[in-house]
Amino acid sequence: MAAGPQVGPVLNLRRTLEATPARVFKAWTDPNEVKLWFGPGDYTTPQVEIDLRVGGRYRFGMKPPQGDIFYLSGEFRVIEPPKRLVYTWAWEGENQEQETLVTVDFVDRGGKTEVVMRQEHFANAEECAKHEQGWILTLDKLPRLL
Amino acid sequence: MVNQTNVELNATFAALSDPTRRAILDRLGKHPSTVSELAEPFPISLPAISKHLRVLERAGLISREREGRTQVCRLRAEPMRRASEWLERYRAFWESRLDALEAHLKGDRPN
Repeated sequence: MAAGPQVGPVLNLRRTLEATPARVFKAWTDPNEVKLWFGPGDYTTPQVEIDLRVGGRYRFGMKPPQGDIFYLSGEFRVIEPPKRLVYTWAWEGENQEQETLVTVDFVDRGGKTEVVMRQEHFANAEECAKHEQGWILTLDKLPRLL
Repeated sequence: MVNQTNVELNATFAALSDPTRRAILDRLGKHPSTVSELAEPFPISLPAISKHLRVLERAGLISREREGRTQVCRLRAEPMRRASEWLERYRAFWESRLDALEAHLKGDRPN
């Protein structure tokens, strides 16, 4: 799937990890592992629910050392183990920000994995998707016309 | 209920999503300019430029003031600062999460 045109600010990050894509994908999607690395600093992540299927949801409860638990949740859009994940991301509660879309590629670098991450406001990503869908619908109509 | 920050961020990102508008903001980041000065580098009509300026003004990213017979546009920094703060917050968050993932994966290896 080719990357869409950049519409508005997009966060791009890359990091190479000393593990295979399958290993990194598992760490990213297995609730028992996510608990061990996802919470910042001295936060805990006491609640990790992951329904790993397209249309399935995840929900993480994160607790600061002094404070109430707060929740992060979203829906999986694309799951291609061990290469790619695409999911929405939204903080629940009164300080909610706009929903964002996260795209993570786990690129095989011969035993290592380059994690390539993209995060953008969902409205932007929808604009890209709309353009792509427009083309697909047009191409679908073509055989009928011929 | 949509809070004010969301409304502003939405408008900021929508305003930034056009390359002509981004170029206008770059220019105003250097110094205030009149509408005709802003239009000059672009092969598009003055009404089209005015349309872009209206989007930027509605998003609170620029101000426009009549000075004599011309309009002078100025950058308003606050919304841009908020938008880039959003990006930087997430960058910092993810960099630290990847640090943690790296440490977690190191635990796989036998000592």
